[in-house]
Amino acid sequence: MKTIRLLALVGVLVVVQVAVFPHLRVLGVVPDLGLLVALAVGYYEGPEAGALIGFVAGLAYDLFLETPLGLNALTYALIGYGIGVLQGGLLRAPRWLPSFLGAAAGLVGGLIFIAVAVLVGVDSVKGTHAVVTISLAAVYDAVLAPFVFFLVARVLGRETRTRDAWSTNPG
Amino acid sequence: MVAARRASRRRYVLVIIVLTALTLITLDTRHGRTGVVGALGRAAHTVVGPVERAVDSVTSPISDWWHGLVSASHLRSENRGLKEQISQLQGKEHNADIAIAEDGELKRILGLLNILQVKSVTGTVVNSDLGNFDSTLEIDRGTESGIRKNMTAVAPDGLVGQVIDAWHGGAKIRVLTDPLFKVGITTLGGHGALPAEALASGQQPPSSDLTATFQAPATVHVGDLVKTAPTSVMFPPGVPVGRISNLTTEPGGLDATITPFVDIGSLQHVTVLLWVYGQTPVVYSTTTTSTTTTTTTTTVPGATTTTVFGATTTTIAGNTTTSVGHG
Repeated sequence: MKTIRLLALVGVLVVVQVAVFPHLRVLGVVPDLGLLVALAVGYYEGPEAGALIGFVAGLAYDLFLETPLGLNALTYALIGYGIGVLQGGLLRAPRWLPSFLGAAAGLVGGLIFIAVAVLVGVDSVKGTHAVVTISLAAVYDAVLAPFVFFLVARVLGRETRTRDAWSTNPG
Repeated sequence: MVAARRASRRRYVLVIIVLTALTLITLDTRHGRTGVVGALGRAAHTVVGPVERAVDSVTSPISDWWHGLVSASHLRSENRGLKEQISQLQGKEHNADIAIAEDGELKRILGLLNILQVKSVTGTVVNSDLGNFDSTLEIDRGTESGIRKNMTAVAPDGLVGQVIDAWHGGAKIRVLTDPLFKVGITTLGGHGALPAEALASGQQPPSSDLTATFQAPATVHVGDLVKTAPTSVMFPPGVPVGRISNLTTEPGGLDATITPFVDIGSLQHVTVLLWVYGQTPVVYSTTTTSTTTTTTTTTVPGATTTTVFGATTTTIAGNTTTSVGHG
């Protein structure tokens, strides 16, 4: 049941991503809602769930883009897995953690995206322009991350507030 | 023991996901969106299309209202300027009508494709640039209106781009400033200079201009108008593209920056010409008569052929596509 609710959330967020956020560009960039879902799921549920949900969210988003199919799926899956591995070592979980993770994931995910895209010959992601774009998108991700963490926590039936400082277990 | 098994399973899942993603990337890069993957993408667009149209219908009035609010004084002066321009253009329009009629008559006699006669479909722009690295537009008309991949998209000002995907209820257009976009162009020539042809493409990193290299000894100047070339494979000839805004001399030619006539960011409607080069198998046969008249016959399955003033006109699904030359 939890999986179905998560997949429904992914579907809704992908529709919002492709239908709404192109109208809400900030400095010419759109955020990566799928990346943030993978991040939140990886954070709450661990690396396996983070990778799987990231792959599904990325693949759904890829269907609408001109960049190679699977590029976002790979990026989101790696981010979801990575945060799932790292969250076990977190000693503190302050309120600003989702924003910090959103920015960091946006930046790292963007770099993975660019690296793989360049390897397969996507010309439009080359140069400093691409790095500026992913940096701005990472800031946008940071702003939206608390909302996405909140939604994912509600869907998973978790505590909706970010955990207090000095907690040793994020779950 | 349990922890080690769990960690091993996690790594196994990750490896499967990474390999699947890499396989998809490789297939998509090599073969494009064909088969099941292409059908999935079009199905996804068809499902999300109504949402995109609904969101556009809500956001457009809000965006217009906000724009009007923050730039009211600018709009008033702009309105006065536009009224003056309208009166000037109305005067020019009569001359243009005469020129268009003469141009159409000459092309008909010479058997050239007249883009004004090509059937077209106009759609509303409902979305644009879905990702951070996409330069595309989405319109609300698709396969149900006859729109297909590789058709040319234009606006009243000139070339907009090319249809790269179409589904029921929508189509995606790669705009001419996209780095992947390429079009054969020609200058108009005149004043002793021959028309010069080149291949124009979007710039990398993406910008609002195109770039082209004219091979020496081409004669081109800043301010020259460019249109799609008669030798262009993918686009009908004669579609206005833009104006040369900068030239730099390079070994072997001239690097030109071309500013498109169309302002992509402000487009609300796009017209798709229902014309695709080589849409159906075409067989050419040439016969030369003793009166030095060369007749080219174009055979297209399902096409109709008519002869007017000695020029043969072939019509494919309502589109005038090719005809005859006199030697």
